[in-house]
Amino acid sequence: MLAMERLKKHLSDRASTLRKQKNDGVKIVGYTPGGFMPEEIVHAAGAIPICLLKGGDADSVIESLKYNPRFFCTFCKTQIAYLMGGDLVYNLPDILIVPHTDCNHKLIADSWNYYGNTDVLRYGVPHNKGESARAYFKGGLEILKKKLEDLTGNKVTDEKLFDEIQTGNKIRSLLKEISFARKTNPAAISSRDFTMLQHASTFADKDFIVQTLEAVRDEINEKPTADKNRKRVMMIASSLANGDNLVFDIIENTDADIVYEEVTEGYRPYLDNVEVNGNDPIQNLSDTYFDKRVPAPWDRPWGDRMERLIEKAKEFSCGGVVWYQMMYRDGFDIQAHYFSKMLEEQANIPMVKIESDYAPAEKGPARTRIETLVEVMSAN
Amino acid sequence: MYTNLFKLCGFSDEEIDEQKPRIEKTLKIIGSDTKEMIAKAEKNVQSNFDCSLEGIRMLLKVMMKEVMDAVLSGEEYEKRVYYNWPGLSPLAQAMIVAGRGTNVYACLAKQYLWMGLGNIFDTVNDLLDLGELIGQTAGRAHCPEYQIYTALYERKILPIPTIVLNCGWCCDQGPEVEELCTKLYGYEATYLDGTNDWEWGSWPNMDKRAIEYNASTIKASIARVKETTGLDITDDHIKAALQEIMQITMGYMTLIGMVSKADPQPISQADIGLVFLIKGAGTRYPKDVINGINMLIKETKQKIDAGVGVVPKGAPRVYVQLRTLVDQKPMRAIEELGLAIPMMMVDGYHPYETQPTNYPDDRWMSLSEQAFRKPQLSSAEGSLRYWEWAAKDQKVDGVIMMYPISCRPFCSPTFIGKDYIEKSTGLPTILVEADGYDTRNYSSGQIKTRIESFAEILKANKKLAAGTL
Repeated sequence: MLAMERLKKHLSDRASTLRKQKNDGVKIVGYTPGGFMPEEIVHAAGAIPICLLKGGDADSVIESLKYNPRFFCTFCKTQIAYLMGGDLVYNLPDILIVPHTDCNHKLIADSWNYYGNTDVLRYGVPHNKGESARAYFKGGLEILKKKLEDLTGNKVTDEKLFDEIQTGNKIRSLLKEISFARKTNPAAISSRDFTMLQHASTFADKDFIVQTLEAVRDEINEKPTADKNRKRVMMIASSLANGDNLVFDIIENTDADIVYEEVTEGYRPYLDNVEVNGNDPIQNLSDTYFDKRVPAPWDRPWGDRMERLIEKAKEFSCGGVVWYQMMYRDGFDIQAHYFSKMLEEQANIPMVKIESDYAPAEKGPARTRIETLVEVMSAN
Repeated sequence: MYTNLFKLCGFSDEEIDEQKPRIEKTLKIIGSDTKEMIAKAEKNVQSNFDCSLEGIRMLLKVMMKEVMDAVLSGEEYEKRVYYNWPGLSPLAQAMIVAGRGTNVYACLAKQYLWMGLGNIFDTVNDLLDLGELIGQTAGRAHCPEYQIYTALYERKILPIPTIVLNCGWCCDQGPEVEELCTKLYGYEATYLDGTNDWEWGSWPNMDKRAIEYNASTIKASIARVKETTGLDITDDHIKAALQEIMQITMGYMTLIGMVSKADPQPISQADIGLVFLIKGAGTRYPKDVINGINMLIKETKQKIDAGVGVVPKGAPRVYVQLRTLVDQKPMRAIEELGLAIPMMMVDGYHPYETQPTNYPDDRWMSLSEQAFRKPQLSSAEGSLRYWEWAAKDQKVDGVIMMYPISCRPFCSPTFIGKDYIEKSTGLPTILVEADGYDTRNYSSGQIKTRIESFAEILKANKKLAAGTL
């Protein structure tokens, strides 16, 4: 696709563009993935948000062991390695924002605080959706707003926020439109390309990404429908880093396509937009970024996460599920045990669990498991 | 068959006879009702603790009684509410106090089961194997305490509760496994929630917003416990609980104060570990615990007066960052290398921890603030400052940064800690992998080998400083 080629070029130049902007006095705000950091507030403050999302390479895992014990989520523990290893992007931010979801994200914040020179702001993501939890999360966004105002010297007005919410909604709506095109045509866009769009939406220039998404949307509407015999798979992932292609590399060599993804860290949640009316844009942001989303496995109670995942598997006519989790990400491993049974009982859909520590040797066993899933789907 | 074991654990012949039906039921349920299993337990308990000390036997008796109460609570009580740590001892003890004389069994059942099955009966590895098959895959650093917990339900050792109050303030895995268990075994759980988002540099001034949120989850959980069990935790219960905890804590502090000041170290940290375990869990038998600690203090003083100890006089002193919880042998192994351990883990109270509360008019906010001032429950930066203080306060010669591989909150700041301690104090510091609950992840022999050359360096440093090398 032409739009994707243009996007690749934009992304390859992006770090140096950002460096120039930083040198010109623009503040760069890094943040950890998970979908709990509203970019709208950063833009409204006149700064540029970038999600730190690198991963997938074994060297970063080895490097990370200099700084922390190995028994942490593979994605999270490698983040300090990119900073200390001199990665250009990781050394851009004037501040790192870490919404605390669990111990693994706390590790990122602690490591950056101790080993690095970048300012770090944390705010908590409570593990239930009760009234005091919602108020607490909203309070975190207020702190974020104040911090960014102090960093940039710019006032974050309601007007600016509502403007940025409109842009954010446009991005979310386009991502949803593109993703949902796979309901009827799995060839509309590959999961690898959709993931690239997702990752780019947290790093590229915001106007450029809107144009790109519009172009991709238009291009896929003209694509011919895929072979109807191809199997449809849903991927549920704990973290899907930029550079982590294990599942794509395997599934693309089978006669199955991933047609829907639920990615807890690495995707921008796009199912719900932010309300543009009212007089409290921070509340509106909090409602969408905290409340209106698929719960995560670290939530307690688990809420309706598993029911919603099954609903999506049915909605997208998926005959199998690939559950992809980072090594040592406890909550996902625990929930996978129960979810696979629930999926089988309620929807008769088989599931395989793939786990990664970004080790090259994982590819063989993962291939066997995914190919077996596809064969089981054929038999069904 | 079991008389000698129970005598080692402080029971008299009359008490054994009186408790016979309960003892036999318990042994059957936990799967330790054969001669071989009893012999294994006798050997194990003596390898962990110095059973010649009367104070130790008195405390082991408490542990054994708590194990029996937990296992038999299904038939002896109408309802059960468990408090699952890590977390807030005053709240747990208040629950216990509120449950006295009612048809509600309220206790930290899980904790006493792993304590007893680990330190006395030596049967936790079998439970760990089972827990690994129930959503907590082997080799993935899942919390072994919760692997044991899941297996306790699966094996029907721990009766299904009416409700569990689970603390997720500093720990993710506990509540995550609790959720799984509620689905698998059909009970309700309520959670103390927290997000541990304290800013670097903020400890011990804990953020009011977070304290309010944490406290709100206590209030909600207590209300839910009342709705489901009728157990009403009143101010009077809390006052009584605080008094009981205070007495136990004072005794404990007296004991570790005596041990840390004495040269040679008079009793093993393995024996102190027994007090640590019971103090941390709360107890249905506070008077027995206080009497046991007082007896241990008396026996310790006798050893100090006699100048006897578990290490040579003048031995290098080390701070050890972790207590292994289901077996105490690693502590003995370190002491066998000729290293004195004046203080371990979170034994001491940093002066910041004991500052007056900022919330004297709100009990739950006050307790939340107090809990989070214990830095290991909240802040990596606070932990660094705690370790630095502990090392200087105890005038140690080195630090053993032993860390639990399967506990993310506790192992998280340890690498940073080694770097920080070396830079801030100049003390030799060694990282050693271990575990709180899973002896398959380490052995006291391995730990001894790992620390042996470190011990030699500390001894040489000491001689060098004294000009005797």
